[in-house]
Amino acid sequence: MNYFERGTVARMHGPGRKVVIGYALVSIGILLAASGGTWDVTNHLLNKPETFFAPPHAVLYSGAASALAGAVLVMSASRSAGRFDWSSKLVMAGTALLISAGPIDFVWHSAFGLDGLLSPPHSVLVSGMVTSSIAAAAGMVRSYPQIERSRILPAALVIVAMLPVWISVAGLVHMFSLPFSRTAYFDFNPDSNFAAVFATLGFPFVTAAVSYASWALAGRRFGVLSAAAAAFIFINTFTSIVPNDSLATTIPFYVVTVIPLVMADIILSKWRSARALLVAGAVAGIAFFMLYYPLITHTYNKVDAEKTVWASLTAVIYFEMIESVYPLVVVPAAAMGMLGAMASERMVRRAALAGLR
Amino acid sequence: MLPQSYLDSVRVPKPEPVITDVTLPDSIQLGQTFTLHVTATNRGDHADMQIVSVAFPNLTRTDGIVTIQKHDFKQTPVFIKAGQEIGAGYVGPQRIVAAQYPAVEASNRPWEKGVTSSIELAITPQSEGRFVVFVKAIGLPHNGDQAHWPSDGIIDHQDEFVSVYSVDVTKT
Repeated sequence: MNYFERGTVARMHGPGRKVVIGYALVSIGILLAASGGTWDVTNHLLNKPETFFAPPHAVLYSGAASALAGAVLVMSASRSAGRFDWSSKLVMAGTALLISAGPIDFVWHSAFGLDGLLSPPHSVLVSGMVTSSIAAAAGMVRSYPQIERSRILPAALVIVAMLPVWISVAGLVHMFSLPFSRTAYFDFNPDSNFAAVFATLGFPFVTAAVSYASWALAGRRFGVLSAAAAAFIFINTFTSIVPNDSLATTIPFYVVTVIPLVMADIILSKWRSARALLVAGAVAGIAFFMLYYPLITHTYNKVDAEKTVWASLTAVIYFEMIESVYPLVVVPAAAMGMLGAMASERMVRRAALAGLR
Repeated sequence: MLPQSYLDSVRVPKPEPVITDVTLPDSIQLGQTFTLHVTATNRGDHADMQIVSVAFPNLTRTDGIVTIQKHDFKQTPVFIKAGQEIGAGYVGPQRIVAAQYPAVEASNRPWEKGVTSSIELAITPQSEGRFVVFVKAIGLPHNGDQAHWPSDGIIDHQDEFVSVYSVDVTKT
């Protein structure tokens, strides 16, 4: 079965405009929800007093509302056509998970008080984000009328489709690797060695896979991968670094993390060969240690120094880790980056072949 | 790997907690309630967290004896029960001990430079004699002797310095 068979909905709906708008709304919604969630994690880390109407919550709920509106639009368009394809079904399932996480969270809070990062309600929420974002990206690829042989989606839609996948899958990796899940009732903290290994394998894979897909879906030209990376860094700067005053001096350091991803973009665009895919994947993979700063500090601190990572010590501990931890993870990160790029290439190639039918 | 000049710009703040005022009566009669007022400030750099601890080494519990009348801390003060696991040696959760007596902990997270907060407790001693109160403040991250108050004196169950205050409770 070709999971990226495309054109069906587009043919049924002419340009498939309504369904593409629906998928785009889902993606934008997940982007907002995942960014709001990351901002909320940062505020919890800083122990900032919060209310139901705190800004991160408002962003998260706006995202959930946008995703719901998008799912309704996709459902309506699919119903008019008399056919629900797998991406529309998956979008509905993902959005249902996303929306149901709210009441589940309320019940959990009522029974057990504050919950950690890895908890049943948060698992439902993140599963919904990952499912919806991947389904919406696939739905856009399937539904958008093909522009030309190699260019599957316009640049703006590639970024709208891929950014929420990137942020929500990275959120999933964080959930199973950050030591923020011990509460008065439960200790869901992952084993510190498992967490470090999972982060070392997971982050480079997702970084390279999303980077490569962004480049390939937009016509294998320079620009979109770099723009997606810049957007990711911009969002992470505002959700994970800016709220913590102590990290303000590290913003320049974080912003230059875009350089390796621009290099990957150049390598793919100028050096069109199978080797370019591997080198670009490796370059994107080894950038993970900088891209997922500052949260990643907490993951590796558990196996490196096991200090208390106070907000004002985060940067100091992280910079020490660049010397103590980074040399140990750079080779597996490069390998996982290559693997991520190869997996991404297979999926994008299927999408392109499906478009030729 | 990174330029030293850049690394030097990532400076660790040095908080300096100070208890500026502790008010309580010299003596009361048994059955009376007295008010303990504690004020603290941070004279150093920003603290990620600064704690003011008021402990009661004569007591085994605080129920019906100690109540919080008012406070202006960002976080709600918490009661620490005897036997509860608490951080020690100024390193917080890295060294855990069991509390030998109850306490009230009030904190601001973060506690900015120059900010002052206070707490007022109503205390009704249950027996005559000397009712003892330990008071201390700790700035976190704790990165030097300036990050705790007092800087010397009696060592408490957390291996941390405390300032000792007392009220004489006499029979009616």
